[in-house]
Amino acid sequence: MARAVVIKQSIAVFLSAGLVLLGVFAFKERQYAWISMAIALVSVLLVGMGYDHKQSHLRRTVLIAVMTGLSVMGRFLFAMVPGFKPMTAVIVLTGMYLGGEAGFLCGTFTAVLSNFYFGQGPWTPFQMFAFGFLGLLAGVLARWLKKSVLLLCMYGVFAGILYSAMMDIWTVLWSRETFEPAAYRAAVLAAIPFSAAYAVSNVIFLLLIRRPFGRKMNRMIRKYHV
Amino acid sequence: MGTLLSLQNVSFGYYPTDERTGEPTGEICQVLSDISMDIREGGYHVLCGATGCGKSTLLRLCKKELVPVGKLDGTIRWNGAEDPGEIGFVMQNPGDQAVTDKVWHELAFGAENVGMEPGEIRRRVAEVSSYFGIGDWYDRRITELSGGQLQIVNLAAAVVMNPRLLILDEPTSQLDPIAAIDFLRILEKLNREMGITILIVEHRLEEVLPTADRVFYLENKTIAFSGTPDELMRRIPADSVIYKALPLAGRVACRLEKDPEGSIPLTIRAGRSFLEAECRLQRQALSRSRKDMNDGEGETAPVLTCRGLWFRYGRMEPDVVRGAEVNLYPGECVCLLGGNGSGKTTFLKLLAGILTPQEGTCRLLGEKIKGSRPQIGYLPQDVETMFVTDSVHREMKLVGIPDDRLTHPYDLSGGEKQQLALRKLLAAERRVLLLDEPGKGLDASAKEQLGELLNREKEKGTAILLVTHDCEFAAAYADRCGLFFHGAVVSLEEKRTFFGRNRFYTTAAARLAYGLYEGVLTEEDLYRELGVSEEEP
Amino acid sequence: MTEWTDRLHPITIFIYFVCVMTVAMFTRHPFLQVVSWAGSLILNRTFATGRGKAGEFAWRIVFFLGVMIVNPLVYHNGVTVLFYLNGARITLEAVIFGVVMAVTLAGVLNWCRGLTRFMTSDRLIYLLGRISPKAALICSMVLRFVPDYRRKAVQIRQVQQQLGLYGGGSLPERIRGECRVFSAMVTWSFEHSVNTADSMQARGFGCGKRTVYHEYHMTCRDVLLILLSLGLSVGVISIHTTNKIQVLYYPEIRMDMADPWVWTCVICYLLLCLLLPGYCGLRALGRSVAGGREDK
Repeated sequence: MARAVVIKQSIAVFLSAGLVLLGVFAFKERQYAWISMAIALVSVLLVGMGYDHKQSHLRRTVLIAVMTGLSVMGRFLFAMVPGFKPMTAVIVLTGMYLGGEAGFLCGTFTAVLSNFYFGQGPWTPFQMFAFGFLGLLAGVLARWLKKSVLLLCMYGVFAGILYSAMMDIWTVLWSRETFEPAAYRAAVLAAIPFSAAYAVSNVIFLLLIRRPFGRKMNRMIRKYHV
Repeated sequence: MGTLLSLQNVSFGYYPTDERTGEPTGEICQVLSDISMDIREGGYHVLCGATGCGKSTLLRLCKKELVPVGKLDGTIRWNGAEDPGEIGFVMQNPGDQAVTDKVWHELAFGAENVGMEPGEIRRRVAEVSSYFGIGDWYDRRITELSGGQLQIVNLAAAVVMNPRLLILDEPTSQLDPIAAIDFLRILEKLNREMGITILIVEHRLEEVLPTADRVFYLENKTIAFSGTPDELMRRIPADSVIYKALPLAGRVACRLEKDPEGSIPLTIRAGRSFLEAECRLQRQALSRSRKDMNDGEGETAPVLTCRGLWFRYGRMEPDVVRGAEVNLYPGECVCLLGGNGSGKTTFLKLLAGILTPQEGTCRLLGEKIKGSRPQIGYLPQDVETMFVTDSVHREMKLVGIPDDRLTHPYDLSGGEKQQLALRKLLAAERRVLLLDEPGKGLDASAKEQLGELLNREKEKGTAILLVTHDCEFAAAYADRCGLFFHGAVVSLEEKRTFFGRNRFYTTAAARLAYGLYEGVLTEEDLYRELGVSEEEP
Repeated sequence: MTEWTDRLHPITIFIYFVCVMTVAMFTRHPFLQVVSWAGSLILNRTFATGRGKAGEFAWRIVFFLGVMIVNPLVYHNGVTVLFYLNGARITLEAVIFGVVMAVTLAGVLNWCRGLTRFMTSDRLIYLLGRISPKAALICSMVLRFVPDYRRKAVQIRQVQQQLGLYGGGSLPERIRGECRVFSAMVTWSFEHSVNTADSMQARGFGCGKRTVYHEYHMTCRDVLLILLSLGLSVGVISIHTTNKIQVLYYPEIRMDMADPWVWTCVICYLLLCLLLPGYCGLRALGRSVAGGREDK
């Protein structure tokens, strides 16, 4: 089983590497945009393929779907306030309690499915990757994040800034040919209000839903042995 | 008929956790003890008992995959293959059971899980959806279906896996009466035409007992009775908790004669022919004239009036409420009955100020009202939407009432949830109470509690308007009743006139006595007409 | 609109959009951009069911004007100076680059819209299922949960408003109110997910290898469409790779118009862009003819 996955994944990696190279030659002027999108898509694909062969409990599967549903719904609920969204907080908690891969999945699905309602665009792969990465990282850091509220809040701030910075890369690559540090600096500066809104909303929502979520998780673990 | 499933001396207990700490307390809370029962191949088995007596736990013990965590003694023998498809399980809440987003996918879901070939799945799904008559919904999204349709899809999804036994845990408690009867008809058809064994827990004994072969009655954690419905009717004492839920015809027959010869009538039809014979014997004078109750009009000023309300959800959508009008007088309870999709709920939301009508006015105590209306209390159909915190204590703190229970509102029973929601609602002074299907999914005792609470509010002078499907409840607690049809209130009359003149939308007692005894509305009326006193057992 | 495309296999649609959008997103050639934009408009016109929302349309116009205007204001490369604004040079090259950028984005966004329309949830789940059946199931569940959650959230908000527990008009109060609704939704969804999990378990989830059921079949049409899309896009991309179709915007605009390769490339891409709208148009035409015949 595991070997088949490895083989499948390595085939995927080689194929994508080939495609990346091809694109670099085909679209010379926009090769950075091409590479970045390819990296985003391939990483999403690889984690998705890997997840399928993980032995995971049924209730965990349901919980990932529930959390993703909640984060998509959260985007609707707070559509009136730009930047103030519970999505990252939900994804981070999913990563913390259900594992990094679950967080990654929740993040990518949140991006792609909420964009079905809010408009898909060339930014979708980037959002998938950015959200997924934040979920994955939360899974890796779960041990510390669960222990201290302060660390969790700091992670929330960090996640907001990181997300904003990642999306700025997209902006620059799509409006310029190459990655120009000056343009990137300008984009980051222009996006400061958004980064702040992301960071603040992350912290607020993490504090708001951390306890009920933790309690529910513990209850489920005890009652149903998730 | 062979035995499909047999339970021998089964006992079950779970380990409760402490409310405050969430840690196990180390004791065992016994739910079932010494249960022995046989489920026979091809039979229609009904399991009944009071709320919270362990019926659901017993059903779950029959399905290997769903056995709850706890201490289990005794033997459960399943006389068939160990395939998960062999036993189909349908639960209470239709919305929670659907897993995927489309009807076709939902039907295929179980077959996908056991790794069936796509060709085989296709054949089965096609067959089952034709049999259930759900071909038209096949491409629909799950969210577009009504509760009744969804529950039929849930049943079909279990049947696709070709089960030998279907276990159903109060499948119709969240449905309106018409959808519930549709559902039970399909179930009956499956049992009769396909020979699928059925084990069902159901509150609507009136509907299922006529078809049942065998009834188990659960009391004090064990099976207190098992036998045919006929035997149950003869042997059950009148003070038993489920007595009121038994078919009225049968109860009347048993009340008239201690041990009637022949079979006991279980349907209205059988009951009517039984009563007809009785009627010929008695030949007593009919039509005792009754003093009509004062319906309040002309004496006191109405609390709430609305005139010509029109409403639609979108510019291009059809009108949902079309010129509805109603007057509510202090201290009265008005019931609106009506089918699904007639706009009842929308009408209540208009009165509550949640939605704004495109035309028409509402007056509270003679003054036009706009915006928020704190004097009107509104209880939604799904009372869970009233709760925003995670303990009863905090929930009541929001409205300024002390309560030190730390239980989670969702952990309460249906009746307790309703009580909590009403208490939260009544924390402020309300002149008008609007209730949307308050009796849905409640058992008889919870309904009685609700009725008492309504009566208390009436005495305080509150005007109550409730929409419901439940004719019996309306007959027991309303002063005036009306039919809500096609977006407007039709025939709002004093309840005796209303139910007396209706042929279909009326109580079981009225249907039973129609044309035989006049002015019969409730069971007590019928007994009075028959000359059997209420106290007599 | 779905009836014309219902028969198309998800893989066909996937490959077609990948082919078209790869070029649309990564080329810089103005001709190809205009072709892409026009093609995407035709595709969306074919299925224009009713009017789009006016607000959305206005927002788009503003967005594109923004992209168009910002570029010359920020970048002052280029040799042909149009005028000076506050002492900064506004050049023709920067203006044109801004326009091309805007057309690119408009085209790509339109293709994305087309993709969203064609890639129905069923098709998306099928494609995901080829990569990971479990992820496909999660996706399907999310699609089922989201509308339910939204409806429930509206109900909770209405009830809270009626109770007077939901703040009034000001933004911070509304945010507080929405936060409360959200946290109530977390509880609600968790409680109800337990039943969903039970229902899955009762139907044998996780007891063995799952098959993925679908009702799609590869037909000759699918194969033809796939071959055409692949062939045309390979043509376009390989010409692109040879540097025959290169454009320089700065310091001054330079591109080769006379080269037949350029026109071959543009025509190939035009055909590619018109492939799906053309197919759907033909199907619709065939239907209406057949329908007309039946009427007589």
